[in-house]
Amino acid sequence: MSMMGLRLGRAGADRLMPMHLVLDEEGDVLHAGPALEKIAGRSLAKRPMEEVLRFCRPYAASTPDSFAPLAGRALQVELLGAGEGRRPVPLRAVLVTLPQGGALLHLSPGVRLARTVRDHGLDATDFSPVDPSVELLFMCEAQALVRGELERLATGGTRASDWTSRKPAAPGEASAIAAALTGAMDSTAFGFVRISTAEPGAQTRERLREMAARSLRDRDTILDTPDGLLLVVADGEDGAVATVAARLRGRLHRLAEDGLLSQVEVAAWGAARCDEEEEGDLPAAAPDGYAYGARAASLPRAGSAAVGG
Amino acid sequence: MHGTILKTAEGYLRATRGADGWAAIAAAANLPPDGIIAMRPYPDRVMTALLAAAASHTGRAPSDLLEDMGTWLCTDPANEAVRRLFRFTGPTFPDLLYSLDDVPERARMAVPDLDLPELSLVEQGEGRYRVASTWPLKGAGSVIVGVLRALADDYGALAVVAHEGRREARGFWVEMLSIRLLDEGFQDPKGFALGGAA
Repeated sequence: MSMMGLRLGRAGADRLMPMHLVLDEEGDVLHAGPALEKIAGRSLAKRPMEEVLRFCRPYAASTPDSFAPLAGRALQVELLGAGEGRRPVPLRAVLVTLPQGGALLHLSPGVRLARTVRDHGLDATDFSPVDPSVELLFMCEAQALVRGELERLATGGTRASDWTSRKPAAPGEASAIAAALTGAMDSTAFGFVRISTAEPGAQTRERLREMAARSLRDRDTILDTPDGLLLVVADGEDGAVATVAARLRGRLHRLAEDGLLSQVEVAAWGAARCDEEEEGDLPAAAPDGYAYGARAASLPRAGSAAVGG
Repeated sequence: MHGTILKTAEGYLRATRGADGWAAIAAAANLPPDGIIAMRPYPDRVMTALLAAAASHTGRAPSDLLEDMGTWLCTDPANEAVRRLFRFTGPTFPDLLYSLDDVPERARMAVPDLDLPELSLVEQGEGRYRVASTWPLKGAGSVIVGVLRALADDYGALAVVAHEGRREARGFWVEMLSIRLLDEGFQDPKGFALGGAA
């Protein structure tokens, strides 16, 4: 496409106008934007325009003769779908003629935005980043939220939640986590210890983090999760992961006895089998006399699991 | 203080402490006997009293409760609409971070007189960001920490979000957060469709 010295490639046109249509001087489709083809449910290139588009208001024949009279006007058109089952999709459009012949149409769902998005599964990438359509959808939902709150006020009551009974992720998720972190951790063998709590607030998290830091080495990593911490134990071979877990459970046991922490679960899994009796490549026990034996802990806890080799 | 914010705190405390717990906290905070009305403005001291009463009742620090509330706001099924509103900011977690500065204006699109914390993002490179939160009351940064941790999870990103401290200046609390984005595609994001609730 070129106009007045400005050349615009198809990729650029697709990003600026995901719902556009370029017609040649014969009225055939040269190119269609990706969002428009998504709505049409088929490829539109090389099709005659009468198979693709109908000018409704103002009414005009789908021929190149219509281009000049329609240029620059606000148009209502229908995008014609493939097959008997697909209903025409009403769209707003503006048409400009091109210097080399043919026309460019820029289209939009207009007032039927929400329905078009829902019916055709559009997402944010189907709109230009500066198109306010997504903001309009945001506003629709925001208003629905406010309306819902008003209705809830009118009827009284707030729904109870199972917030306090959230469970930690199943150990089976480890394989996915391990796959994602394999490159990032620069380690061929590592394991995980997940500490989850029903009360994952800042104070609890800080206490858990302090406790975890005392059980880990420098090359291990502590990550925040919505319900606690995820400890990535590098070189987690032969008992290192289990040792971390056992130490954490021991410390948790003491904190629970002191009434400082409750409802905390520790789950461990990794490249090595989690054997709570084994000592791994970890720093010596801190001289605070923590109860090392995890079996002595009365806290509820998830079972250990072995994942991978 | 807009009633919507107080109502959110009420919703969180009801959900986590039950009706009896909420009743005790509301009584200790001397809340209006007819309850909080979402669309009514209240003096800031009502929120301060509510937080103090909740902290006393639960034995937890106010910042602890506020962070928890931020997470609850974006994860509890009852707040699905709020989660969706955040997801409108863009298809990726960095898109969300880039739009944090717009949060107050977006909120005003829904409720014109709702004043949320002013947020300012600084991108430091290599997946590191800092966010300054400015609000008349202390603790907004803790709520944002909870919100961002929950939304990182929602987007499937692996991110470390931390509260770095706060200071008071000219009647406002400026709170600093740090974000380290370790893996944008750590896991599959939770479902979101633009037209999902339309």
